[in-house]
Amino acid sequence: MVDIIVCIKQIFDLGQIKVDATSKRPITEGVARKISDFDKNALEETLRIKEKHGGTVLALIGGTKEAAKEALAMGADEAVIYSADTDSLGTATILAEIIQKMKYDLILCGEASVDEFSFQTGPRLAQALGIPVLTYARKMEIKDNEVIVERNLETRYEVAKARLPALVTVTKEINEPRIPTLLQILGASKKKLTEISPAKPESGVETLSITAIEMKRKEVILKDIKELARVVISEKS
Amino acid sequence: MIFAFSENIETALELLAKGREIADSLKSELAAISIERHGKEESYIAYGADTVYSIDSEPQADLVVDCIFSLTNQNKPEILLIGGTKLGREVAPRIAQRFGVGCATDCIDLSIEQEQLIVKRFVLGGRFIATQRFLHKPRIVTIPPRRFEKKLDTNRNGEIIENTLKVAKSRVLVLEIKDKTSQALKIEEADIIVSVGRGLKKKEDLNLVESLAKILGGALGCSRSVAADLKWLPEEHWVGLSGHKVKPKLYIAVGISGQAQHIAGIRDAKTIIAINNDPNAPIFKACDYGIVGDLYEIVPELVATLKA
Amino acid sequence: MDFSFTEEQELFRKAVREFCEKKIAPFANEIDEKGEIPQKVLEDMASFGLLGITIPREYGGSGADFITAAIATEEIARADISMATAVYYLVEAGWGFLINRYGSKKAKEEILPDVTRGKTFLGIASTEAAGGSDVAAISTMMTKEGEKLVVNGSKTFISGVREATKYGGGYVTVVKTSPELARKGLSLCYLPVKDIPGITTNVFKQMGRDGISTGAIIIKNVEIPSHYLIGDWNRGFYYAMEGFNCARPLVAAACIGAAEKALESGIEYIKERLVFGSPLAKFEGMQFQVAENYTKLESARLLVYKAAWMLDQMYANNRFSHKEINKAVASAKLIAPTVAFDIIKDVLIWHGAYGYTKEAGLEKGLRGVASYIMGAEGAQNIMKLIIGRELLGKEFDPC
Repeated sequence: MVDIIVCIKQIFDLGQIKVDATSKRPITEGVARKISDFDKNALEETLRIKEKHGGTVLALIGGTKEAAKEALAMGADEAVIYSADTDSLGTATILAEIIQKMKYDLILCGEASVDEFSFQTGPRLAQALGIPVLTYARKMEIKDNEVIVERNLETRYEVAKARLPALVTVTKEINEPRIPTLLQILGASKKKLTEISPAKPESGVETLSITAIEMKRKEVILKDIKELARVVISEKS
Repeated sequence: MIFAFSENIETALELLAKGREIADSLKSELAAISIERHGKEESYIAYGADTVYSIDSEPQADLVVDCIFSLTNQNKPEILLIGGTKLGREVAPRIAQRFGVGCATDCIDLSIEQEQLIVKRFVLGGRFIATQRFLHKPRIVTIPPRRFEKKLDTNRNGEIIENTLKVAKSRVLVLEIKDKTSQALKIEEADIIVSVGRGLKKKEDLNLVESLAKILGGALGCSRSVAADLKWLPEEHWVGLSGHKVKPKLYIAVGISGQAQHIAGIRDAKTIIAINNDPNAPIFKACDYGIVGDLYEIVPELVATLKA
Repeated sequence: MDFSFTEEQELFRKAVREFCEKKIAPFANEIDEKGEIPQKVLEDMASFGLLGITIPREYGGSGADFITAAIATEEIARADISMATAVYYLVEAGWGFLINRYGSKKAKEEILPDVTRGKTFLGIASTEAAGGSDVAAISTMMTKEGEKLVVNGSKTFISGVREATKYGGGYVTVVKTSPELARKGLSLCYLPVKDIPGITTNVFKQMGRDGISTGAIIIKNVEIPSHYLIGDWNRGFYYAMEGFNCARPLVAAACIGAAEKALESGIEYIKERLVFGSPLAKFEGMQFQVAENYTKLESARLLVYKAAWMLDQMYANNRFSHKEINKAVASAKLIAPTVAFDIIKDVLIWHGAYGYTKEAGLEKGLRGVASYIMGAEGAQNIMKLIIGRELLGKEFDPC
């Protein structure tokens, strides 16, 4: 039996974000939201661990009811949602405060969120809770009150273990998340969903501006392979 | 004082170049932290450090966090520059959390404005750049490898301080190290990359694109779907924001439509060439040279032409 | 009044879209070119609960209502705009529902679990060579002989003939049981076709929608067990009309799904495509087409979901008369195929010569949707007759 908490961030569907032509700022109004990709891998992994070892899966979600419903439909037993308009320091503070009151053996996070790519929440949360952290897991298993993972590092894979309770951040390769079926979606409405509103935590970083990247490429269309070969030869040296 | 740390010596030297600039503009000192005795500590001085704290430990996250935390407590640096390797990305936020301060990871630019450290980093899937400042000290930053050029100055002097810190044992136990397959591809260091995307019809056809990479002496890359969905190539080949950010001289995108995440990953390429059968593919708006056509015709003929 | 979907419906649409993008869309060209839906696609659809979606849980289905079924249809057609996958899905959703409603318990236990598991195909066999839409003129006969029922005749332009003979399965079949009673002498039966003595089939070459076959079934002294009679003897006309009312909103939903996908890709294209130095989308002639097509699509979509909603209300809450349902369903089925055809045609033309290539992926949509203008669960003129009859009164009914 393993009781797992999976931390999930709901993000904007990045492909839908448009750029304001004059200010170059992102337009997020009306943009759909989704569960951040690697967090979905983390959720999927918790479900697989639960299927193998029993226990419970609680999804702790920075986002709306919509994300919670999806997590519950995928198979989480319970969801807690909170709103988080803060940075990584603030998020870790909120999460640590909530989790400290809970019983758990294992915490899973995505290695990063696909909007910010900060890679911060998992390591920070483990630090705040004082538990071991294993980052970049591409494989994992639970054995004798320990978690063993294969970490994907730059030039090597590292098999490492830590005692539970521990926190693991997972990579995209670890699994392919399931898509909830109609019956699972309908079943999710009966599961427990709690909404909490934590006090606004202190941030560590202030964002002064966000502007679109302007890219200037030549955009020359070549007529034939001869031209292509000429360009390749001149550009490679 | 400014601290610079990376367990990767090359990255450490790059951080020192940027750190030197910042230290000079703040009229401050630059200290390098070396986590293991590798005998290259002298070079840190030649590449910009005033001081080197040489610690006899090993590059394990728990130990590194403890070491840098203690050194920071002792010396009260204002800024910590940490190399954005996988280890660096883990330890930087953990140190920041211990101090209860912010951290900006993967910064592509750092500057000092009115004595304040201003950083820039990609956000929202890499299509936007956020400009950020810190609300507390120490200000903790990670910088991706190969972001800045290292700068050698053999006339520099400095001091190496051998430091014996008492650190707790790591709670993570390493059981086994497995080398990544074959020649351990480091696509982010390649000068020429030929990348392939969903335009490829089957796995067996990878050799087509591989032969082009080979003749150019380049590395083989791929888009998200080839690595993550189809799993035709391991993650090491994956180019894009969630894969590897690359900065080659020449990037050839074969059958890659050019989703925003992919484009963000090749932004720093000097020249981008696109081969795609869909004239409407977004890659044609993000390349220097493009050719519209079937990759199955173009690639073999290009290889033949290059051979000749 | 509230035009929004429920949270569950929205989440289901998101899930089906993700499923279709991953498990159907990558095969869309192959489905059209090879003229077959890969078995893996059907297996995935079954394990995701899409096959026989309206069939109750006890038979392995999801017991979905028609709004939910329409959402899935729309999404499937977005992923495969050739309509082939949508047709496979929707005939099972429509006619599986009907079998569950009127079939014998024994027949349901035999037939439905294999449909929801994706093992066998279930379709509708109504049309005959003498005419499709005039159901009363059907000449395929079914007679009682002892404990058996015996069927003689032939059906044509039947979807899924090759699939049903390959995988097994059969058809909700409209047969004449009392010739003297015209439409009141029709019955419905379940007719299996794989390895059945007396059944021969052939498959037609068609203009499009090739991923699912269309063909003829020749039925010669075919014996079926008596529990394959669906509902009461001589009540088949009413059941068939009810079944058509269930399937038609889904046909219409498939059309709008394909059109939506085409229009979206067209809008993206004209924003990027430069002509005389500025994007195509800057030209008023293009903007008017975009606006008109959007409005047509949206009106068709509203009619589709209104019809689906009315059906759900009828089954769940006993609201709406058959006349009201007939009108709503026929209106949706009347407008959706033509709107979809027009939109895909326009988008194809926006793409210029590229639009005419197979690679652009639009022409298969045009060919596919065309099949729904010709017929499929009732021709367009029949929809007009139904609407006309409901508006003018039965005394003006030509049949």
